[in-house]
Amino acid sequence: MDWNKLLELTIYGVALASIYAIAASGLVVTYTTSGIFNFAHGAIGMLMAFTYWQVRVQWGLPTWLSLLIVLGFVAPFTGAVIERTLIRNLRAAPLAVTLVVTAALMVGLMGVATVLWPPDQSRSLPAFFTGKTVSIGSTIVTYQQLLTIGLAVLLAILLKALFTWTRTGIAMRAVVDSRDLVALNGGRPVMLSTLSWALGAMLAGLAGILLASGPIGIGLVIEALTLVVINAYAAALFGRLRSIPLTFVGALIIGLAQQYTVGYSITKNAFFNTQIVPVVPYLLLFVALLLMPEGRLRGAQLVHAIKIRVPSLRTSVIWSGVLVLGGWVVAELVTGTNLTTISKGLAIGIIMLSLVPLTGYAGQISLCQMTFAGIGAFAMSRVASSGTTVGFGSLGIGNGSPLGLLAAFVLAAAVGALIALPAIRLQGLYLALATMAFAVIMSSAFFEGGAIFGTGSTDAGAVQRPDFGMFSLSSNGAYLVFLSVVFGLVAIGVLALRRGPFGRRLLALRDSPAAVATLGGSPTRTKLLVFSLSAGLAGLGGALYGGVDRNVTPGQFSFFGPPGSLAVFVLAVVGGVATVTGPLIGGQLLLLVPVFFTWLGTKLKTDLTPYAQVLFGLAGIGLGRNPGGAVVEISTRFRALVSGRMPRETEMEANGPPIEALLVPGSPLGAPIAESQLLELDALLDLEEVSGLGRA
Amino acid sequence: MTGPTPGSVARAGTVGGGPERPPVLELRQVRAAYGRIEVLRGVDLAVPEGAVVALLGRNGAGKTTTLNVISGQLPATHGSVMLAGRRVDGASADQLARLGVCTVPEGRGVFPNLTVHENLRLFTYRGVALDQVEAETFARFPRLQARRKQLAGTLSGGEQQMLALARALTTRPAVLLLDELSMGLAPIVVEELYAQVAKIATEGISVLVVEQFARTVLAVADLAAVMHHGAIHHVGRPDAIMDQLSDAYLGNLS
Ligand SMILES: Nc1ncnc2c1ncn2[C@@H]1O[C@H](COP(=O)(O)OP(=O)(O)OP(=O)(O)O)[C@@H](O)[C@H]1O
Ligand SMILES: [Mg+2]
Repeated sequence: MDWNKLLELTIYGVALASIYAIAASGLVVTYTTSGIFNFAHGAIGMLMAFTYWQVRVQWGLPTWLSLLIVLGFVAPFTGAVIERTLIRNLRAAPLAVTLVVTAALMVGLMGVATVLWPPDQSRSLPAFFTGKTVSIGSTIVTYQQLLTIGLAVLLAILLKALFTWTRTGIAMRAVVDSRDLVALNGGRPVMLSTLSWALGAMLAGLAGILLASGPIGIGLVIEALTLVVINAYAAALFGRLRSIPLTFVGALIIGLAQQYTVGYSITKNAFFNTQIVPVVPYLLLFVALLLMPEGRLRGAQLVHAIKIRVPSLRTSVIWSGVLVLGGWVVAELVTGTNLTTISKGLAIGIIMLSLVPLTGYAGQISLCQMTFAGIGAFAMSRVASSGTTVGFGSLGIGNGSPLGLLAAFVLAAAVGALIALPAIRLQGLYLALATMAFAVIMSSAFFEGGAIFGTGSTDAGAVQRPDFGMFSLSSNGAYLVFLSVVFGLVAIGVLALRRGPFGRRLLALRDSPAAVATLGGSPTRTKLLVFSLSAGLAGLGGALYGGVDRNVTPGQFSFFGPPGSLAVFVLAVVGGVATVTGPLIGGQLLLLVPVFFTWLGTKLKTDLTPYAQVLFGLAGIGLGRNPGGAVVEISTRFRALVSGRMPRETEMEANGPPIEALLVPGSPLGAPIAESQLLELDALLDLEEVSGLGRA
Repeated sequence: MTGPTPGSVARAGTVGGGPERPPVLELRQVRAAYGRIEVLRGVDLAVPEGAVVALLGRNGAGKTTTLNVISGQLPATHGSVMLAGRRVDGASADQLARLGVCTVPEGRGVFPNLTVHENLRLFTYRGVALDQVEAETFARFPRLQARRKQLAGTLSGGEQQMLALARALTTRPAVLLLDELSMGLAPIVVEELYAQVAKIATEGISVLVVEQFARTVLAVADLAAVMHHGAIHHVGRPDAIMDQLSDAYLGNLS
């Protein structure tokens, strides 16, 4: 046993854990006090690190003053402004909307950072106490490491003091217990919420600065900094997003696990080193989530929701026909890369359609749809090709066999079911985070391993277009028309599903899982089915997406992309995920907006791509005000224009008793429900053509 | 507005208050709805200073909803809520609480993950010293003293309601709104609680109680109102109401 190495790795691990603990406790404070999970926490940390660089290095102010400016003023101010302008409106919003808004904020902030500090210049922060070290035995410890560990310890003490000895701190804990009761006694939950965001941003900033100047050599790189702070989310989940002490424990586990895996496996397995070690925090995140105790089934809640008309079969067939016609016109008029961009947008639209039953109807959140898409593309590449030499090899059924599409659906659905089995009992935010972890792990351990789609130059990334014999899809125009047909068919299917009994079950799952249980249905089985169906559709979309360029790269199926699972989710919701038109628009937005900005950039001779990111952020943020998505917003306004009436918000329970009133009083979940009550519940659910999405 | 000064005991006897001073709390033709279902259909109610007013009625009559409107948790769609003669409807829950309306909601009046001490400490922002708050509380409810460091969630049901009452008093309210203080408690504990409520009223704080234990609450109330289907049907002295009670609970009203 090499004690020196162990000691060294431990000190590195504890220093890293300290940074995670600082970031994660900020996340916990904001989440518990405001009830909103801040996906942008990492991005705020990143932004503050850059701000610190600006003040400390660019303007040359002394260290203490720079820290005071950034952590004392800029960070808390930023946090408070974000809370006031964005977060406050989200209190009653569905979980999907809160996630999209904060995720969009993350992307937007990354865009802002790219605009302010273009990555073409390399920047670095000086370490604190450069060069100063102490040695323990033959192990050298830098002052910076000691400082980091010391700060985490100090923070732990300060937070403990805040939450036990100050009235404000006690009130913040009280808000966690019952927000209403605080207000009923004259406390101001809203103020506490602002305060918690200010504090959270400050802690994110501190973590960002320590990382950028610190021991593990991330430096000032926008994506890397943002991502590493996301590692801290896992730590927060060890504390179930509530307990600060457990969060510290979680941070320690993650920091040490990361350093030990790095330190002890260098000579063993190259794949393990390069593909598994970086995602260790996500593996732990996944594990932490699976260890979560099961939450109570949620009953019905009063929801402000917008009515969405579900088109009849006839209407949906007609509109699908119009779409195909439109696709044909575009195929005639547009050529070159513009044509393939539109095609890709349409394929992404099909992937987004997979979110309609899952998120739009059932209120479940998946941040790994591109993972399923990648699995679909993988199936297509292996089944519908005549031979490939890499990895799992090919079934060699033949070039472009339509069986490949079937395989794509089936394989993705199977993987979906497999991943759903352990994760499905998780609710709301936890399910969302579990799918995120799955996306990140799969991206690194599967897609980027080289065996699946190669490393870019081999033919393993080749994905055939399906070949139906009679009409050839080899021209890009024909392929676009084909994609329109598939989109139309899937949309018709999704809407038919919505009108049928299964669709009703999905809505019930969203509105009141408890009600599903009382109906004698199992919420878990319903969830499993819809998750698997959704994964299958995403797989189908992925196979078709690969066909556009007849080639794919691993990065496309990652969490961040492009296009990436996160953006697919965000833009599907922005478009309107309870409708089938939303995905159509969302897919095109995702592909066309960057192209447009690049084009505009070449015209104006400046790089405008970061502005596309900022715009993307703004689009998601705008959702906070119109939670139904763009389609719903536009169509209600349009109808209002036509009919001369203002759109009116309706409330779900407006036409009948709350769903809970129909439950057998006092009985445990699962008790039988009378036939008359069943009919009542049915009637009740039928009214709700709403875009309520899921709630926390 | 601040809390009433101790000693300003005015046990008014009639609804509408005495001729000189307006009632501390008054509802005029208040209507309220959840979504499109109207639950309150024109509630008229007055709570005179220092009086205990009992609000009775069957399940679903709209009692809790009435309290929700008064405490600012549900907006009234029509009518007005007056506090000492001033209109306050439209104010938020925390504003109203700081104006002197403190609510102990149904079955969840304490912060379970805070200790007794912390529960008492939270809302001492009227400048009352914490020591004094604790001294008052422990004089009123001696049982809480030994449990000072215990988490409120681990207290017995009766102790929790005592703490809820005591915590409400730390805000120095002018009006206390109590919803089903008795929920899940033994009758003897309920009597003990209402003895304290009567005492609180003699100190000048007006109390509006919603209660199923009609007999217990009528014994300490100065006035009683019976609610049915979202409106007040009878108001009167407790003994008179007592006679109509069986009707009210059997649903034979109107
Ligand atoms: N959040 C809500 N959404 C929809 N309807 C509600 C809601 N809360 C209460 N109601 C309805 O309003 C009516 C009055 O309810 P309220 O809680 O005021 O009755 P209550 O008199 O307090 O009854 P109880 O004695 O059972 O507590 C009931 O029919 C109830 O179903
Ligand atoms: Mg009630």
